[in-house]
Amino acid sequence: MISPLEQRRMFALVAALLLASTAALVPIAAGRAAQGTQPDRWLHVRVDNQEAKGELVRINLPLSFAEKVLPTIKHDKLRNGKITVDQANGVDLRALLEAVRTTKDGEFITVQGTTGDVRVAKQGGYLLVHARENKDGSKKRVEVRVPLTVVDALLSAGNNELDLVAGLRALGSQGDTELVTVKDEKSTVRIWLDSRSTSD
Amino acid sequence: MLGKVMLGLAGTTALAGAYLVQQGTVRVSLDEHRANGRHVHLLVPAALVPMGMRFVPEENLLDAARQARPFLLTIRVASGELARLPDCDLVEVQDVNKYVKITKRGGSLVIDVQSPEETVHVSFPLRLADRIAAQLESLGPSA
Repeated sequence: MISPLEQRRMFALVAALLLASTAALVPIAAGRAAQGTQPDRWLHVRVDNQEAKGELVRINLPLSFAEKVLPTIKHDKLRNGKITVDQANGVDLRALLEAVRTTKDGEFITVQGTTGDVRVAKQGGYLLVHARENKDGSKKRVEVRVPLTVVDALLSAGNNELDLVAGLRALGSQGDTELVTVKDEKSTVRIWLDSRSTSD
Repeated sequence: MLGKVMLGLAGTTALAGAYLVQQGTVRVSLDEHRANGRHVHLLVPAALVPMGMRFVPEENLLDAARQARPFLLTIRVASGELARLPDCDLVEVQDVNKYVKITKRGGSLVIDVQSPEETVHVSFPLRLADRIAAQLESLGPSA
């Protein structure tokens, strides 16, 4: 026969165990709740190949993730989220971007040929590149759209450097944006920015 | 008296079970598609991994820490950031022969690789990656 005192003790013990178990499981519930909070901006890369067993690439990356992780990577010319740019093939990339940034809106390059055409322009706050190939039956089309605020941010680092983290931050402040599209008969490449975690 | 002991044991088991469930599991699975190929399937409670590391010979741990040092900060920041994300597919690559998928599911990073040679599945709680990186980091700069 269990005395009333022992009954109360056992009840207290069971209650304490139940509370402790609940406390141990609370972080799981909290973690699941936290998963419902979506980061703002996602960068998507999607490569589709129409051929049977063709190549397929899907990359979905939150910009906040890249912003935080990039500064931790120290490799080759990448340090503290900034990349050192040397003259590549005689082209000073930084000087080129600086020139684009300070020039008024307009077309910089227009080439129209029998095998295709190329157009590079600055328009409505974007650097636009449009290329179309029409050679040997190929109908490759390339569209690149870079917000100039991103160019500004990239150039905010010192000489011979591009500030990638600042560039990402500037990209994050953009609305849903199509950045790169490459299309031909066999494949499509798309790089874009939106608020969704999926690329479907 | 025996009732109290049993109750105590049951309570301790329940608590230990709740703790193990909360910490998640590490799953490693490898199937080689060839005659006499290896088939490795491991399912380890994540809570036991840091404890298990205490039994690793110190020189091996120091060597691992030395090799991993350049990446430890990146691992810690990346795992922290990934843990905050909703469940999502991060990377999916398929070519003629291979298929690779990296996803985030319920606090864990899940990596699947399929090729004609082998099928690999690895999943681990992101918190574990952070804990192990922290443990290796604590071995000091001389490591």
